[in-house]
Amino acid sequence: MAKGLRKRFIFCAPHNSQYEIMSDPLYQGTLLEHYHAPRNYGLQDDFDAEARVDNLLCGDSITMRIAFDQARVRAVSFAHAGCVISRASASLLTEYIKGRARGEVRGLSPGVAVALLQAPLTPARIRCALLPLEAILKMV
Amino acid sequence: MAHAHKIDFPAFAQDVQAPGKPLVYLDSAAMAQMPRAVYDAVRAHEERARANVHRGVYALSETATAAYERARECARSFVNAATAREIIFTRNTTEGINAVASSLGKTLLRSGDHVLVARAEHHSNILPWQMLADEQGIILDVVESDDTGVVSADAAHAAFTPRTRLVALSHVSHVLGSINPIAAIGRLARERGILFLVDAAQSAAHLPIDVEEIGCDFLAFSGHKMGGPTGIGVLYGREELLKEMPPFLRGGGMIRSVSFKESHWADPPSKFEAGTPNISGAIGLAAAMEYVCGVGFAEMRRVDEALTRATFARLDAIPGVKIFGPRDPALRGGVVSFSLDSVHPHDLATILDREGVAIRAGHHCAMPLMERLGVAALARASFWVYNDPTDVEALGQGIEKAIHILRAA
Repeated sequence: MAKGLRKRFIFCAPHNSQYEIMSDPLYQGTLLEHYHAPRNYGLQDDFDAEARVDNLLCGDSITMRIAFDQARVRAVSFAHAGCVISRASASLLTEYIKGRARGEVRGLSPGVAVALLQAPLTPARIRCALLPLEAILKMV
Repeated sequence: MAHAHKIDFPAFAQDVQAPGKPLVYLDSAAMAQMPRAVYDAVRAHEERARANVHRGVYALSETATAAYERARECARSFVNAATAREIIFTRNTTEGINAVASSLGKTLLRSGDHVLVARAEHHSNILPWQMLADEQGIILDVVESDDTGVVSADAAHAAFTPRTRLVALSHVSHVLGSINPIAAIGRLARERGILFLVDAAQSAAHLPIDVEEIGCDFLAFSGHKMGGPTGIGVLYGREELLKEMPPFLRGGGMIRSVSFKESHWADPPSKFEAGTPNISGAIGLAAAMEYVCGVGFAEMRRVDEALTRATFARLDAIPGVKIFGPRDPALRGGVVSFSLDSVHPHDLATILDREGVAIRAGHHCAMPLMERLGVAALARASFWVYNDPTDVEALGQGIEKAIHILRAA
């Protein structure tokens, strides 16, 4: 809904005018949505495994909890401090792994994490996208 | 006028991100752009005088050697060292500090000796001393800065112990922009017979350096932060000390004689310049120093203060911005670090990048300082001669855009 509204009001204007486009090729769509309204955000008490990963270089920190049902991921929750990309990535990845088999999750490649974001990441920011994956892989 | 200098720098003739979005470069504290005069000097050297130095007897080699030694004399004059024998060309500040630590660690510093550094130092002025602590049992003491980021002479004095043998301190903080009273601290160190190393990486391009007035024993800075090429820096060391100190690296060019029984070293500075040096880098650095002296430090200070003042005014108008370091622009080098509520520095930097504005975001190689400030990362804008008030305005607009995009809808 919010995405559609944003599209309607975008129009082109010369640089530095007051009607400058207040949007961004990276910070929009899926990425922004999952940053402002992250899924599975807030640590749940019912869990089987917990992992915390910090990126001391930038200050991103993710704590993740997974509850298993036999060999499947039953529930996931996370807490986060840091940048837009690592939070959005955590939101997308936690949604993605719900219901999947542990073995499948274990085999998740960095490419999947990056693809989920549907955003043009520069090499410097890919590390941000992979932080939640690192936490997940510690637990499966 | 500040933007009169911009035309000296070819880098600004490009629109990096998109037409109509010129490069707004606010990361000179990491690396400064190069003026055309430096490119020309390096190119002229490589085209007409490229040969190894101190080794050949043919004309080209003698020309190269003369140019290299002329560059050394230029550096001597730049810091007012007594003799060019006290000027060692290095790769950068980091290498200079490592060379001193490594060399002193072999002889003049013993297990149980104390070395004093400040918490706010760059990692390059912490880790070489930590290496001595790890490997040689030196005790590393840490002095805190005050609320504005300054290490006062009193604080340094209070931190000295009877076994303090060396104090290593930056001149200007590359995060807080605060200026340390290094001449006063130098006097104190001298009185106590404590060696004094100054990290001038952030100050060399902004404030005049006079090693005699400072009274330091060592001083290191980088060429790439003052319009020189990358891979070149200067280490100043007092001659009496350099004569005593063992070499850092060994190889060609730093010897008097070599045999498998024993080898003898050349005198300083050659003793500390093993292998083929960054010859064109030195030539470029000399041209950069000439450029800096041509602009003059009075103008440098004027630019720094005016832009710092303008940045404070612009950022103070944005809710959620917190600026670190001294509030008086007259007491700052050209660096402004800040945080922005609810916006991570990396996200801010990415959005600014879209507008052609380059700032630095992260821990700035100062993790102990970040910890003390209670942050994981900060955004940093830094100035040099080519910046002007329109750059500050672009920074302000970019921050506002980031807030608009990223703060909760």
